Amino acid sequence: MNPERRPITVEDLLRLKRAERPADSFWQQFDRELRAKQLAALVTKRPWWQRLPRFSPRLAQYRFPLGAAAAVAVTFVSVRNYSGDISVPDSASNPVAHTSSEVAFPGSGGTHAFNPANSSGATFAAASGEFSPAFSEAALSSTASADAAVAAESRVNSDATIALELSRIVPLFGGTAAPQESELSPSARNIAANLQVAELHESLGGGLLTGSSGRGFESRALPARAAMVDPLQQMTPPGEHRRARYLTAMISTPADESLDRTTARMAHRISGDELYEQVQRFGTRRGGFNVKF
Amino acid sequence: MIDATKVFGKALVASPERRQEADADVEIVRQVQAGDVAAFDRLILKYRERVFGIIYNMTSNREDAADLTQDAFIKAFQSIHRFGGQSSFFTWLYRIAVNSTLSHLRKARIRSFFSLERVDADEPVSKEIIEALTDRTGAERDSYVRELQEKLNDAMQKLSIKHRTVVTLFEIDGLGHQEIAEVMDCSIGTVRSRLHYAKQLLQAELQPYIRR
Repeated sequence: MNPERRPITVEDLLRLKRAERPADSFWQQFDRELRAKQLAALVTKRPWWQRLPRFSPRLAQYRFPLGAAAAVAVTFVSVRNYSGDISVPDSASNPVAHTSSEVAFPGSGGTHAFNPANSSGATFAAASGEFSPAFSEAALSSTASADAAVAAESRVNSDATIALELSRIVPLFGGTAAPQESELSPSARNIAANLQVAELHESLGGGLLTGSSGRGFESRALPARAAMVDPLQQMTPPGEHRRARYLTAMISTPADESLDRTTARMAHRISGDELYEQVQRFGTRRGGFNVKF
Repeated sequence: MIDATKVFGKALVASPERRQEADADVEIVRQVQAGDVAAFDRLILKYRERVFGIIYNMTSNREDAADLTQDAFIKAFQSIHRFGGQSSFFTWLYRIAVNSTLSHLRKARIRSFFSLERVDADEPVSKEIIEALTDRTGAERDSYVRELQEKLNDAMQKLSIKHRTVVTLFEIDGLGHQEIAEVMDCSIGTVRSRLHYAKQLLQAELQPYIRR
């Protein structure tokens, strides 16, 4: 180094790195590779999440307030719905639930009054007198109720159903007079019919099975669960293994079913300890057979 | 579409040259966004050396730098419709390149192989520095320069990734503090702090070549 020259700083040394440049041939190859990658990028299908529309940058800066507002709104709606579910009045105070419904059943040949609010079991009172017993659990399991539900569904546009639904809805809005059929629009008929069918299904399938009709959440039909089994009961005790081993050694291979039954009887009669002692008494030595007493 | 006045309204593009440059970039980007794919080639030609220089000085490896530069341009091309003009195009492109390089360096922290590019000794600045450093000529001088390059690379690699990035952008590429803060998504104070710390480390490492 020449001490008489100008001072050298770190910045000067780093500036030297600016002068590091690749040769021209490098850029030719670089361009070729870049072109190939560019074409591949054009051809390659992009993932679906990259094709989703994005918010504009102006909206993006408000993403946290917007997200928070959305979360609050969802929470509010959820809480409100949940509160609505649990605050459904019981059957005694619900005038709608107390209103008897009339459903047409083809098999009975008449119109039946159906009271879904009865907690001990809905009562079908057949107007024609052909079918009037109170529901029991056995009756629920029978196919009669299912057939009735299907039949009711198939007659969703029946006059009786429409009249029933209107008789339920009108008092809620302060109306008194029962509407005539001619006053109903087709959509009103459908809505009324669907409501009726849904209520019938719920009462038959869920409420009566659980024995708690008209109680919101509990009235839903629950899937059958397998009975809980103690894990210890599922284990085979060590004595059983030992007994089975000894039986296998003692008893020859069964040739027919009678031998199988004999083996099973012996296995049940002889406890593990007894069997162990018996086997210990028998033995072979020097070509002979020993028995200990 | 992109409003060029918004780009210029920021303190990012200070000098008239930069302003003119950004204006031209906005025009090209607008063409690409309108469907003129070939217009992007002009942006590649314009910025490939600078982007490569940044990545090369961050990685100290030519092949990696070439790959990462290409990837940065591909990403920019794929996302060009999302460029809204909040910053200048080259800041946006730098951000893509720097983020890709940082991600790459984090994945491959241990690297044993470094490649060196040839120093352009005819460039006035480098010529002056080299002459100030040594009286040697010919092959001896080339050997000395190569040794200095290796020392510089070693010293740079001893810095953390973020310190190295700041030094590269400021000292080698010549970006301002504000621009580096934009590219690295941090405050100007952080940029200054990192720069100061990195220079101290480099000074300690390159002491034999520093003359006061």
